[in-house]
Amino acid sequence: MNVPCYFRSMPIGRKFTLLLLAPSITVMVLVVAGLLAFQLRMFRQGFARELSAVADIVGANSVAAVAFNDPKAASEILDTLRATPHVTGAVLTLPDSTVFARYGTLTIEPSVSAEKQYIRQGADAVMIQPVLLDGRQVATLKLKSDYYSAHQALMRVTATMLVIMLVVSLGIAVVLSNWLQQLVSRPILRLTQTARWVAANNDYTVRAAEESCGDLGILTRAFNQMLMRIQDQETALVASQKKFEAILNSIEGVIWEADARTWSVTFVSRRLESIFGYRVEDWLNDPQFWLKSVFASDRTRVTETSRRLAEVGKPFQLEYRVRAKDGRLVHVRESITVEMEDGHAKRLRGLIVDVSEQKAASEQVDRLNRRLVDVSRLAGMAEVATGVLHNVGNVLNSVSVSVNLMGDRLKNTRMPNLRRATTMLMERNGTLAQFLTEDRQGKVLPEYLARLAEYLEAEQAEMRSEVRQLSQNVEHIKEIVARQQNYAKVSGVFEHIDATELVEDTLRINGSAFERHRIEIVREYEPDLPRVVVDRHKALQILVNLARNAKHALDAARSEGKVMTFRVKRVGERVIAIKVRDNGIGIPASDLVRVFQHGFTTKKDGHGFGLHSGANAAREMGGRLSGFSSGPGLGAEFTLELPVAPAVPAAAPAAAVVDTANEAKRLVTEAT
Amino acid sequence: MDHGHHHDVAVHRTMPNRRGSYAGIALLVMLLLLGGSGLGAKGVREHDVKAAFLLNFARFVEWPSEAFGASNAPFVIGIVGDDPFGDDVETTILQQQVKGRNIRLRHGNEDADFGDCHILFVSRSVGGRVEKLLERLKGMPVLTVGETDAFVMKGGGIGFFVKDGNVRFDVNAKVAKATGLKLSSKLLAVARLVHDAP
Repeated sequence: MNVPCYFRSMPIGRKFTLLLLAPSITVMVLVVAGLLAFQLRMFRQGFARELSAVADIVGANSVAAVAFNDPKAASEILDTLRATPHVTGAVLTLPDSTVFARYGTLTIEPSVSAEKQYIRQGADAVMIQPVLLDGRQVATLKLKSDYYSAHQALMRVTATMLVIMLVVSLGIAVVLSNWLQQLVSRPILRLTQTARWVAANNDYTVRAAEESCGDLGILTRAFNQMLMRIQDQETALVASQKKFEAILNSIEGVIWEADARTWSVTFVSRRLESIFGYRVEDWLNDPQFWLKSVFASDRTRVTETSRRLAEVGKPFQLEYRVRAKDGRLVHVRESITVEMEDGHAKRLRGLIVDVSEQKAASEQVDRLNRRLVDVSRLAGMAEVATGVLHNVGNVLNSVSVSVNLMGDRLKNTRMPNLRRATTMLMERNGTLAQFLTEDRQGKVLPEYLARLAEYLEAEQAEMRSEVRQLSQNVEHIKEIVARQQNYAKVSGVFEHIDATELVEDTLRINGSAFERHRIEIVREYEPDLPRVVVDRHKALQILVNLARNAKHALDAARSEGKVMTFRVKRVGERVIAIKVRDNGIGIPASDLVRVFQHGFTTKKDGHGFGLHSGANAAREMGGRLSGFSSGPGLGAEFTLELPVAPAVPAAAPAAAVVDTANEAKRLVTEAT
Repeated sequence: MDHGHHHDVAVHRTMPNRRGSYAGIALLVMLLLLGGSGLGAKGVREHDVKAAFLLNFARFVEWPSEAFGASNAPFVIGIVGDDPFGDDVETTILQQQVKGRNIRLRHGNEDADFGDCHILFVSRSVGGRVEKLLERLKGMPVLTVGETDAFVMKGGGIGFFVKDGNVRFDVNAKVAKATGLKLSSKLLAVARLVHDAP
């Protein structure tokens, strides 16, 4: 049904009043209309009846007057009609149509009729009544009545009465319906008010006043129960939310949630304040806030990286620096997850963790590590030195004896005698022949010179012997030192270093030798290689050994066009290979299988454990040492494979995905 | 009383035609009687009016039931003294009915017994003998009607008089009451009432 708007927007109280009034008014109006119609009908009937009765009475009364021919008496009787105001006229007519008596000012047509008649003539009603005496008609009475006026008067009275009745009953109906309406609507209004209060203030503690019984009672109780349940739920919700927030805020990090498209932030945990000193509202109100607080030089990277990775839809990590409110520079790690919808990033959630302390700690560890490495290196060196010095000291004794001996010999040499003889000869330059033949001294000089020469030859032989001895001793010292170097392993310290750095160190160590032996060095480094995790000294030892072997192979093969190639390349996901290649004598296939065996050597002064221990050391470091040769004269290539260092330092969570490994590594590098 | 006896014959009521014609004549008479406002003017005879009045009296007065021997007993009108009405009138009267009863007329002198009469018309000819007659009828349910001035004063029931050429009548209510008759108020309304009669 189409209910008018204004009705619907009415307060329920007025609706009830209307509801109660409408039927009662309708009923009242119907009743009044019915009454009016009934009254009208009754009036018509009553009027006719009354007129008839009047005619009866007057007729009966006038019988005697007619019977005894007394028109005067008849007139008097007709005059009694005065008591009936609506009868305006009457005429008593004899059967011969002569008028016997009249009443009223109106002239009425005399009528003679044997039958009683009631006729309505316009505004008038006419009653014709035969006057009987002892069953015989002696006259005809005709009454004329002002029906209209009587009708009007009656209608006026009746209408007035009905209107008064209507008004009074309407008043009573209004009062009653108002009262009833309040009885019904008050609980509903109270309910409405309660509901409105609840809606406006979110206050679920209020209750609607309870009705004891009836539908409204049930409704009110149900409403209150509902409120109670909502209140309970709200309490539980608030508690749960508090708990949740407490948990969130107890996390050592800032948790945030943002729209992936606009980057406007929908949630930020309170930790923002304790960690960075910023207010949560600062960020909530300004989507660019966080980016602004990122350290200027990290900003572009953070923006681009996060935008790029957010589109991929996989979780990712960032590390960067943030300027806290008090100016501190805070290292943070941010883990971001992306919620996708229809292939597009919809929502981002992140956890920003302050890793400053970790960073500092890891740097500290790094520093300590390096120091430890240095210290242990020093310690190792000292140990080596002690061993070496002890052995070298012994040899140095004989070296010292040889040197003293040679010193003495040199001090007592006959060289000055030779100088004197030569000076004598120079002085007698013009008369050299005379001097040699005539002078006493001159005559013995050649013999003297011959003897001196013999002496000097003997002395030289003695010195050469002594120098050979000395040389042997020095060689011994070198050997001792080399051996000590082999054995003095400063091991167990693994470092992350570039493989190329190892190669360069090797070249630096052997550089002068290569130059001396005219060996051309070729470097082939693959760019952007990850670091390797190695014991620097072991690796260096292996490489130095390989380089020296190559040098020997080159020396043994040729005097020109010696080329040694150092190649660093990635050969696997987690393996870097350092290849040392020469175009030297090569290795026969039969030897190739034995080169790594202990004690195998082709060098006359070799120990035979260089490659063997190198292979072992490579294995210890998680790598591998291998050799290859196409055959004698075709050169050889030895390969040292080393493991790639883990992408992220130990502190990084394992959650970092492989895709982002390079990125993370770069970030870490930059951040360090 | 041959004359009177002769008239003491019941009208043949079983013949509607005849009765209808009689009724028509009676009506005509009545019209003649009642039509005029004055006797002279219309040329209506005084006694014709009186005869009609006599019949009408019968219609406005109630007699005790013992006044009639049977339910269908005739209504008896007695005429004392010289009969002033004439045969024509009497014939007409006899054709009428009063309260469903046939009418009989009885003539006689003042000495005759009129105890069974209902109305007794005392003509002017009775003269002074009327008192004796009235004395005799005293207490009997007979409505006495006279035409002398002093009739009601002497104890008569109704007395005719003529005024302005119209026949009017006095009623001695006391007498009427004493005889056990009931006079209609309508009759009294058109009568000149006499209260001071003995």
